[in-house]
Amino acid sequence: MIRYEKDQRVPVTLTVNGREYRQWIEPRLLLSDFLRDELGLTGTHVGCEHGVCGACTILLNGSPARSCLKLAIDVDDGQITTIEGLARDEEFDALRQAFSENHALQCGFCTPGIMLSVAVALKHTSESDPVDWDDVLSGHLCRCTGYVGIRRAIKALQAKEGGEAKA
Amino acid sequence: MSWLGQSVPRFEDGRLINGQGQYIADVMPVPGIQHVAILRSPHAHARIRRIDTSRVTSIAGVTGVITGRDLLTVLAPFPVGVPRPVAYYPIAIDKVRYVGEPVAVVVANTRYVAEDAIDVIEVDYESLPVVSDIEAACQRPPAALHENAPDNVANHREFTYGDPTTALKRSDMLIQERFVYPRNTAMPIETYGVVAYYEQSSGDYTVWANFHGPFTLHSVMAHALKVTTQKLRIKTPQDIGGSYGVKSAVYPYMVLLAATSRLLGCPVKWIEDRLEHMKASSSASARISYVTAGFSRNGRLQAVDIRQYDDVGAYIRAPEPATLYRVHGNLTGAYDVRHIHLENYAVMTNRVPTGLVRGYGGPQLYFPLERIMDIAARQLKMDPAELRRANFIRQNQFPYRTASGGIYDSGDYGAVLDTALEASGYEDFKEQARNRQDSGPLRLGIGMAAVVEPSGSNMGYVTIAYTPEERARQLPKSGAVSAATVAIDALGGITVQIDTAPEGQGHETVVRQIVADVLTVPMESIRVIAEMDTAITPWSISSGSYSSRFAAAGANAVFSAAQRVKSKLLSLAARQLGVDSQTLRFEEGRVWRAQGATDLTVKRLAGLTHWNPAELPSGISPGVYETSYFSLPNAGPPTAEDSINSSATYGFLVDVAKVAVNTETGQITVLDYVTVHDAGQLLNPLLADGQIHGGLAFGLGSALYEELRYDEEGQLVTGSLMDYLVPTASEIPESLTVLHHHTKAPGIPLGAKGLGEGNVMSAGAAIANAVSNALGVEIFSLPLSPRAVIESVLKKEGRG
Amino acid sequence: MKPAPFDFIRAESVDDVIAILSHTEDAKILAGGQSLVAMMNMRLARPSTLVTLRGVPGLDAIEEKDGVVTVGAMVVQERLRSMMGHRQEFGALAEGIGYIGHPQTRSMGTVGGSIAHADPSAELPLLLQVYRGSVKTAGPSGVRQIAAEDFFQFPFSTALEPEEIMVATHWPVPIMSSGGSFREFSRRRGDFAIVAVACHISIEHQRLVDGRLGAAGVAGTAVAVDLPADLRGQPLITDEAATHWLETLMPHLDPPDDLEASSVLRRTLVETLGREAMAEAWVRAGGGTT
Repeated sequence: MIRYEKDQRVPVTLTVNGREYRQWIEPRLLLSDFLRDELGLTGTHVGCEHGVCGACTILLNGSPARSCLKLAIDVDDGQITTIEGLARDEEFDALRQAFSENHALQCGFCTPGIMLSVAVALKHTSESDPVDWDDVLSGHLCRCTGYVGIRRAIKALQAKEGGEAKA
Repeated sequence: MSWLGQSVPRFEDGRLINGQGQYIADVMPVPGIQHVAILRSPHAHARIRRIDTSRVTSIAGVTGVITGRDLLTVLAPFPVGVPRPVAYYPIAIDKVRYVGEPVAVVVANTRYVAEDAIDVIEVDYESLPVVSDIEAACQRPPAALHENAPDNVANHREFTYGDPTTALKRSDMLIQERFVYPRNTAMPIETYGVVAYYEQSSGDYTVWANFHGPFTLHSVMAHALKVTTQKLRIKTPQDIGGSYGVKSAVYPYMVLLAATSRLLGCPVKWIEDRLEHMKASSSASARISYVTAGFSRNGRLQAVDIRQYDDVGAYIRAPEPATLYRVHGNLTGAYDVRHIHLENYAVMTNRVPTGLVRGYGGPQLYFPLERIMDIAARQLKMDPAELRRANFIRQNQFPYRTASGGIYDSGDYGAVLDTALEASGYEDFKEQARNRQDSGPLRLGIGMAAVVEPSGSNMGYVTIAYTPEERARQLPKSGAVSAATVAIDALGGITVQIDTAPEGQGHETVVRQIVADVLTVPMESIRVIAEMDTAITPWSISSGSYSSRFAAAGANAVFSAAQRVKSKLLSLAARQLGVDSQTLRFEEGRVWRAQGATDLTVKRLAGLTHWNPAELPSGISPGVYETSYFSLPNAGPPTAEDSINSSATYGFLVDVAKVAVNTETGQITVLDYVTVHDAGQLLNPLLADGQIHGGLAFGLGSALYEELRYDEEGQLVTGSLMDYLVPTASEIPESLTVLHHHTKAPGIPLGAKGLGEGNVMSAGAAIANAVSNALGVEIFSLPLSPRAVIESVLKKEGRG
Repeated sequence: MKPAPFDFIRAESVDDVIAILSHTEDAKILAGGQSLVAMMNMRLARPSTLVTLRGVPGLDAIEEKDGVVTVGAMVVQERLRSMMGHRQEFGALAEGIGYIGHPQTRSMGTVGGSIAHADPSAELPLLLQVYRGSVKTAGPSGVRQIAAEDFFQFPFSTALEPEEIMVATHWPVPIMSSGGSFREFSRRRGDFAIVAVACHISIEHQRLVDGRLGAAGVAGTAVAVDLPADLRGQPLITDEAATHWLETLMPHLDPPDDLEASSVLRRTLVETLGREAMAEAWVRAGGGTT
């Protein structure tokens, strides 16, 4: 076993958006603060720090996760995708376009988390195992849109994908 | 091609969907910033005997600690617009008056360390009786929060318009009821955030915050900091993560941080955490209303008598008691009523001070008023829609002067009602609901609300908290102003600066639409700067984002500034071409005359004013930089008769809600929701609908889920997002229809009225009316939790 | 809302964990962190030492042997849900897990963490009771197997000794012709249950042979009862049978009275949801309507 003292700086290695980072951190540093303050990736927003609002959602090893409920030290060696990583990925151009065209965001604060959740759900959806969108969206609070634009964006994306699959 | 009126997707989206928004938490505008944590009161009411901060400085990384007593040297109490203000500081001085009130400020190198440090501060409190019940607070006060207000009343006013006594006496039927509107709040997903820097050499303050006005509060802050206004520079970040009003109340923290920076000699940053926000930021005022309404036999509303008690929290804080007055000009909503008696009390309790929350003053008024209409309809055995129609202000009465002084500029209320009834299938569903009664636990109900939606607040309305005699001793206040600048640089790049401090409404996009239309240039050639900087942005006291004022005020300031640019460029073109400028027009960014296009472009003309100013014709000044201050019409100060047009323009909406209520579980399901709006010309329908969707989600939240509940000790019992129930996607009905009428706002150049708040005012009443219809029980309070529904059912069955 | 400082230990074996728990005051085990880190951010939990199980081998396995599914304590909820989604005999399990929080928390929240947390309104403790599961613990005096009924003692309190660690849960596999149903009443999607009900039924030849009915949010722990003996061999769930079964559950309830619901409403909900769950479980088990 390895023991670290509370004020000791501990080396962690994380791959964020495909790039490997090695940083020295305190054991108590939250992953959300690690991403924002240590790496300068401020697209991950902090809204509640008790795991309810979903603004800080990132992908950890491919699964959506609240970065405010993870200690950076405890995800050592993990693979993380933030909104900045999604932004570089052309695969999600359609997602971005659908969000904008359907006015799925206003203040944009909850948006990065929602886009990551939607992106990963779209990847895993199939005809035999369709996504329960209410379940996915219930993990995010949006105070601007009433979720109407968000639902419309998802519908538009699915219609498009369905169309492409048939074509 | 005209862009105005089109559903243009937003230019803001690009940065926001790519994680490139810049919010207050993201910025470090000066070097050397230290981080703040705030020690807060665990008591609702207590005297501070002693604060021991001696252990704080032993923690590595701590810069310093400050208490209320320390700050007294640099602070004055915040001014507030009531005759009998109480001493309100951004931090407790000797006494705490609500749970969460700041007691000490710690500054350290990280927020983590700052939080460690507040843990080791010891405070000795002597607890005092807690004032929690609004009516008891002023009628049988268990304690006085402030020495100069022994009855805890911060403001009391009485108004009589027409002859309500006689009109009520002559009424065939009186409805008398008591209504309770709860404390709820806006709960933006981004919390408050402030960075403050005091420059010791100059004594100048610079404060960055996600503050969006009203900028009249700038003078309030400068006063509290005891500096002249030019020494307080306020800047807002590029992006603000929602507010819905509540971030206007970040201003006490702006002052707190500014003063802390001064005393500790370093720039400081504070990002409020969610628990702080829930406990101690701000909230809507809870209200108890006693309403007496007199109706004639045929359903005409003759007169109303309203007595309202607002819970404004522990300190009356500017701009309160405005919750009581924001709707003063539209007190009787859509109805033609000439006789009103109104009594207002702003009552202080041991809860967080209140302030702006989307709908401000509207839901507190319309929940009782629109419930009264349904109660009357039931008693008169009339259809609620027809009772409303019978009382509507008729189309030929516009502009309509209300009894209390409002000037409703335009509308066609009957037509909007018709659209709503048709879209909802009102008659069919009513029948269906009736047939459903007594068959199992599920009941169906349908309900509506009709709301006159004020926008573009008149800055003069707040002064109606004073009596006419008191007002006569002050300088008058009035107006609803917005400012904008359109500038063109030497190579034709267009920059527009606005004072509307948006937090997601899409102002940057609509501004592009306006300027692109006026100058006939592509929207992409325009850059919009929405960040406020009180040192360089043209602004006025009414600047900012509140009272749905962008469409009516801000957009027209931009339009006016763009017109000035156009006029200057066309004058220059006319001199160049030797023709009358009246014969010229812009098309595709180029000057045209009757015969066709010239080779003069916007770029060329602007370039002339920069590159060759020496040869400009006389009367044409160098550069293109036009600022326009636009003032909405009909925004005069209150009269000696207490008549006030509290808003510059008034839209209208009718909501129809269909619900299913399970009488066993208390579960309410919103089956379908129709909302029909008339907000004049829409500048961008896509964004207008977005505002309506958001407002409706708020309204549904307040109707069914949201309440800041306190126990008798003044402790917030819904203090996390697990307990304060913000609706998720599943709680918003998928069957939701938004429709529009387009009655132009006659006095406003672009013809648009504000929107986005109306459904916060209507949904509580519409849902309550639908639930009443389903259960056959009257509803007098919100939110309609399963528990509340069951209690209503039991009461009806005589078991409650 | 930042955690107070703590020492951090990466345990590499179950013995490591036991040793730490035995010798460190206020040490806490970190599994998925979905409840613990939230509490730490609020500084309602201030462990002196945090022991992560992430490096302990074997805790994230799901194995099926001799009619028992063993779920390692570190298996995340979403994984168990997707594995059990097609298992008709565990019908209420995947459905019930679907009510835990949101996909974004189920992806990190562990089965062991939720069960050890012992929230009286949580889904997994109820499911473990309904499926007659048990908890495998390891401690200084060896390995223990504790039946679910004995494991949950009070709200947020279990039979786990301070120096013990939960290593797995055991889920006996019901016979194939079983069905289950899970019903939950909450204010919002994904909220903690006001009341949750789970029903499991096994049938043979269109007759009830076994069953469990349980509820959460209505007592200090989740509660569950067996199919009453006199309903065994009955052909189907009738209204009377349902009432009878519910009546055997009711004495175990001690529903709280709070902001969200009165204790009367909670009892009503157990009845309403209970009837729905029984009917659905019957159908899912293959029970006919005649």
